[in-house]
Amino acid sequence: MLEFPNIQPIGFRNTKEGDHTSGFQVPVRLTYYRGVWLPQLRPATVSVDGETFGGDQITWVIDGKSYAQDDLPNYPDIQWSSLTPAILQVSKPGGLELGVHDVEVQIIFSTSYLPPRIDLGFGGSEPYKRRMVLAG
Amino acid sequence: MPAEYGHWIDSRRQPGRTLTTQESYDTLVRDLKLANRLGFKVARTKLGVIDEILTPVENWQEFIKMALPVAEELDVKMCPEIHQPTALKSKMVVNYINFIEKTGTKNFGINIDFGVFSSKRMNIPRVKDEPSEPEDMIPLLPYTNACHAKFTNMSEDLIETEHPYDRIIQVLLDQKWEGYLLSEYEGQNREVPGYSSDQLRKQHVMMKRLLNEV
Repeated sequence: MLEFPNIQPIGFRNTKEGDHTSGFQVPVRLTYYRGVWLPQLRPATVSVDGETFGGDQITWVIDGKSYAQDDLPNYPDIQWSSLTPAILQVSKPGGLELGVHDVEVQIIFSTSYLPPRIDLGFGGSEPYKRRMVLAG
Repeated sequence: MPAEYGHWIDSRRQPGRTLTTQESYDTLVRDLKLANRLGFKVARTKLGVIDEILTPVENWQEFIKMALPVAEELDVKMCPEIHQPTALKSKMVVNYINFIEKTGTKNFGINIDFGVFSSKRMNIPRVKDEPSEPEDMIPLLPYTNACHAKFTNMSEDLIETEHPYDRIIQVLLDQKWEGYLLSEYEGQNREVPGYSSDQLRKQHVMMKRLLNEV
């Protein structure tokens, strides 16, 4: 069940690789009336409590499959539906502390039927913000 | 009853370059097959644009022409929108009509978005942008199977305050046009629960009155 804000609290948690806490993840929904093909996505950034992560620190998980940010252009036949959240997995050894965090996510994607000047306009201007609790 | 299949040729899908003609054709054919499978005969074909007045990508004629035999076999008509700030009387529309006449195709047409008649313009810098007149539709209707009944504000007495629906519908009736009108609300308060559905119902009552169905 998706919540109205872009950043979803269900699924906001630390991630593990074996015994080691490798980072955290933030699910987001796509605020757009249609799904986007993965190459339309431009690199996203995630900020938590003022610390910003981007580039290869972020892996997209869509429909259970993982995609590095710079690999997205290689999947022109994979679509991110507006009905399912994407999980942004962020690499941060040790993860986040349990408790309240201010989370910001900037998602940008290209839409070719808008003039080039505002091609990145749908996601672009302001990041999504949500204060959420990390409980595990 | 399937009316119109919306699809996009995302010409700037790949960062740093424009889709090749072959890539554009491939994504277009995928959509034509889906449209056919879902029972649609008309597609709203969104081409990528290259400037502020929505001029389509330079290779549109190549990949559309490549796709015409597939569209014919699948019985789907590809129709890009004429949408504000493009005017009905414009070079872009002339180019579309010339393409249709030159190829003789029945599988390419146009879709008129009534926002071209809107009294509220987008005010794009350095673009002279006047509303089109409903009568400007007349020479274009033979190429049109579906229109987007764009609206932005239905008043309490069921008048659209920013688009001249009485004149638009009258032209369609006078020309005995047959086709689909797809309501598209693009006004305020879209995030307010219930607001746009209320606007939509108001628009439909207005349309029924104008079509003499009440």
